Amino acid sequence: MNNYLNQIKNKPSFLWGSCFILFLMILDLFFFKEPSEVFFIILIISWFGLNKKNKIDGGLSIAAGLSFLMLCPFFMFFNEKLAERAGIWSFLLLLSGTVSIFLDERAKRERSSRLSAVEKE
Amino acid sequence: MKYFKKHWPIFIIFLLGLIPLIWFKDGLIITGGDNPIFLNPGSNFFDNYYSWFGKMDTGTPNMFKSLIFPFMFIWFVLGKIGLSVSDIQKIWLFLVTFFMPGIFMYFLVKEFYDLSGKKGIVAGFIASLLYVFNQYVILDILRLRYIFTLLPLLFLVWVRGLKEEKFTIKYCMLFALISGLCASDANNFAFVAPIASIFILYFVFQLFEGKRFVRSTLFFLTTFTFVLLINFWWILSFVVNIISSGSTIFSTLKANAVFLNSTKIHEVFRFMGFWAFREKFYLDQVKLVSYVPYAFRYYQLPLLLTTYLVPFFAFGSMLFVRQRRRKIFFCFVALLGIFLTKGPNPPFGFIYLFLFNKFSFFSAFREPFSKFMSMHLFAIPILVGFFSEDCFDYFQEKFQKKKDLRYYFGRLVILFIVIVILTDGFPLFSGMNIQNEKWYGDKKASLFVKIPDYWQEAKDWFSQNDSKSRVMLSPITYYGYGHSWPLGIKSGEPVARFLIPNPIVRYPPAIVAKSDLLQIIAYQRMIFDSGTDLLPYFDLLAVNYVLQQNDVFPAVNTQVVDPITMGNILKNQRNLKLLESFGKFDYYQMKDQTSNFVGTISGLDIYKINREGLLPLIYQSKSVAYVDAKIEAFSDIFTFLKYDPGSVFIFSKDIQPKDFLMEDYSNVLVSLKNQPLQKKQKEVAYKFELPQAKSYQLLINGYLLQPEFNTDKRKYYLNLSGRSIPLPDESKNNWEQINLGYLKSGEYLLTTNLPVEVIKEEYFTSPIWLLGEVGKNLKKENSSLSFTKINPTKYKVEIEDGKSSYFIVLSESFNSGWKIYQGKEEIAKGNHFMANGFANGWYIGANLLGDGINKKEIIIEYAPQRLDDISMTISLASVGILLLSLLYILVRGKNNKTKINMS
Repeated sequence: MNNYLNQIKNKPSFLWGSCFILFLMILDLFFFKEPSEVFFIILIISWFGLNKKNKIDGGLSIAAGLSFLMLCPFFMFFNEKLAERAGIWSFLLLLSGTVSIFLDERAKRERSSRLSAVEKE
Repeated sequence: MKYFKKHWPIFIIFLLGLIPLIWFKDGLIITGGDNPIFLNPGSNFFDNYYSWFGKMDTGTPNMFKSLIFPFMFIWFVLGKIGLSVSDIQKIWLFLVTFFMPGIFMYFLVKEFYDLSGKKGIVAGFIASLLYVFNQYVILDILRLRYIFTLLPLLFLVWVRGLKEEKFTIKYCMLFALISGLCASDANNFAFVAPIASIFILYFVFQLFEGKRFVRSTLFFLTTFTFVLLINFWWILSFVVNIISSGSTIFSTLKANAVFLNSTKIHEVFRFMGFWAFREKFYLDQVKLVSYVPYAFRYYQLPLLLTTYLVPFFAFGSMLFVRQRRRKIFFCFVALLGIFLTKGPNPPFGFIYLFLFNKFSFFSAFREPFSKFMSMHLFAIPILVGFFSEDCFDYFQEKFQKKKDLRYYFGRLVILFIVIVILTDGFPLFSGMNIQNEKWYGDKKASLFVKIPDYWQEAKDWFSQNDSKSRVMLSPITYYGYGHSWPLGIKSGEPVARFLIPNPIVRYPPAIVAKSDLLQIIAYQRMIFDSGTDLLPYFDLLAVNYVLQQNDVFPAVNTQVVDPITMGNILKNQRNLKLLESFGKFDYYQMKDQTSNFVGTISGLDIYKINREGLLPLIYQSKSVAYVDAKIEAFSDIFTFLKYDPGSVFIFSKDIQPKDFLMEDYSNVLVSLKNQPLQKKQKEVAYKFELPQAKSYQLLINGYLLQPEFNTDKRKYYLNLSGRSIPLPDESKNNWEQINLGYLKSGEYLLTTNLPVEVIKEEYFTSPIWLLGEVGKNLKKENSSLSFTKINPTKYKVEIEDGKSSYFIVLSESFNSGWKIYQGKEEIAKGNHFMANGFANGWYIGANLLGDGINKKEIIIEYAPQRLDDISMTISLASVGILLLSLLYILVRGKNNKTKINMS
């Protein structure tokens, strides 16, 4: 967790941007009656882009996705539609995090193979 | 011992695998509902072996051939050894549902760590625990799940094969051989396809990772070829059937896609979302009960929270950096599984909907929950396993200096995860997952079943006397009907299918095939017009016996009449004779919510159909009756036409009349229904064609001439191509008959002001018929036919062939695969047609079988079976070759190792 906090601390633009997107997600949760696919796409691409631009580890998206996931049981007590919406955001954030980690791992792998090729030369 | 000390989870998995044993009550079977097959899975082994499934109704191409191995084969063999169905089921549940999948999952996860070291033991244990104790397993414990059992093992082999430094075919062969053990599941293509996609995804993932492109592709293609060869015995017939009747199947599935939207994403995360889980229904139309009585607990604390902890742990594993590369794949599989399981629901449900609407095969996924759940059901346990190991290691490192904390904290976390998993799977431990008499407060809805002895007696009787003839079941059986057995049973299919050896004819299921229509008419005549002579229907359906099941629950809404009334209906049939009765059964009648004892009656009655000479399954006829109507017209035909055994009918709506059929119709029957040409004020006009010049009679449905329909007291008239025909104002007969005299062939126009609209399109009766006078005698002349049933796809027929032409009818559902051979040569190639609205008919021209009036032998055969025999040979040969090669490779490898060690 400290690792993620350190990454964010020095990037105020990311902090504000991500807070704004998360705020919109929560807004969608409570105030939008019908789910909007366009809204999902715009928001999750923005989130993914912001993370990539600021080189934030995908784990942060996973953590955010897990937070939404754990809201589901509580929402289910009083409004199942809210639980479904939380599930949707959880899924999208988990997907974003997994893709991000996949790309990072791949880049890391390519870097290390390039490095070992240079060392061999 | 050292091995087991190292792999201690095997012990725990073994012990937990014994849990199903506590569900079983003394000698009972768990069966019923959608799985009546467990009444005796081995009983249909031979019926399913052939490419034509003749066990039910009038036969159909066998789409479920793959069921025979290993599922039916194992039950069949164990049954022959002498084990009871109940004992086999115990072994089956222990091994297939719990122990084997648990063990395989343990070793799969261990593979990702160090197989020989201590690492990965916790991960393997937790993953195996979750793989067998989850909400999906709880819901449908009886589902066929060989692929689910063997999936971790297959994946382990797949991973190893792709990981190999140098390509060898060892793992390709191993994978293919194991895949052969999952064949039974292939009868449900939609269930298997998502699981197969996991392997393809892993292969693509490896390519993305840039690893060994050529080797991986070679491994993939070789394995694919081997899998194809090993499973060729069922793949070929499956593909042939899909090509020939796939469009009909898929369109039917699409029309019945009522559960497409039933699973929401927030439920999928916790392996839930089954359409009926929280639904209620009216039991016997009276009592409102929950489908799953314990379901409410999953919407209360603590289960509501603990079920969400599982996906939390799974995706939480990605927060730990260790093994991340491996976790990514399982994370993708889990997310893809979740995405597909939720179906057309948000987010991005339009993708699923697009696939569903544009690709007909995708209609097989009309209930996404049961089809795609397997994907994340496989991935999430592995991720939870990773999470547990990571957590354990994390606390070991964090409290490196505090020995006590290190010891307890790590173990407490693992214990907590175990408790969460076992809590979520609580119904498995209490046996609550099996529908018992407490579920709905109704004994008959219990899945614990005791088959009464009289069913065994009836089975023995048929086995000894006549196990090949078709048996018609009485009363009507429908989806979810019940028997008053000691512990009751409710079944989706007639239990007789599994309890007697004979082919059966039953009241058709909800999705009606064209070939089922005749059965519907027969059953409806039996119930609604008990005076009807059922012999024509028995003959056309080639039924030799009627099995009256007195132990079936009567249900007025589904036309299931009580056994006393039913017995009277059958006894009044002139051509039925009560042959045998089995068992004693106390019959209670329900009246005002209380059951009253009526009397002790027999459990089962066998009636035999009395007929002279005719063998209705295959018969010979001299001429055909032409019917310008649909098959439903049989309901009318036998009310005004004297039935002549051995008749052949062709329906103009089924086939294009061929020249050989038009040669000489014995009767011409033209129905005027549903196609009025014009509709003026209270006047309708029908345009129709008479195919042959004959003396005709006009038949007016007496129903039309009832005074209640003539409210305006009009004078009825009927005009046939300018010729006025007098009509009576009223009638008390079923049919009002008017002689039209000799009519030439050609087009005619009939206009009338009769109230024909009172006979609606869906009625089986017609308002007006034209009946061409009987011409030739339908009975055969100087010829006779006898046959031997070699198997459901082959009949040896001996025929006394006259000089004139004739027809041969096989009363199995019409299929172009049925052919006639004389020696090795196919005969009557272009003369195959649909007879009697559903069966196979052939026109045999004069001297086609050779000159002379002597006995000739022909074979009627379902030709696709020949392909099936070839594919079976290929598969068996492939299994033999692969097994021997694998053995050789293993022995050689062992010898090489020994040599290296010695040197």
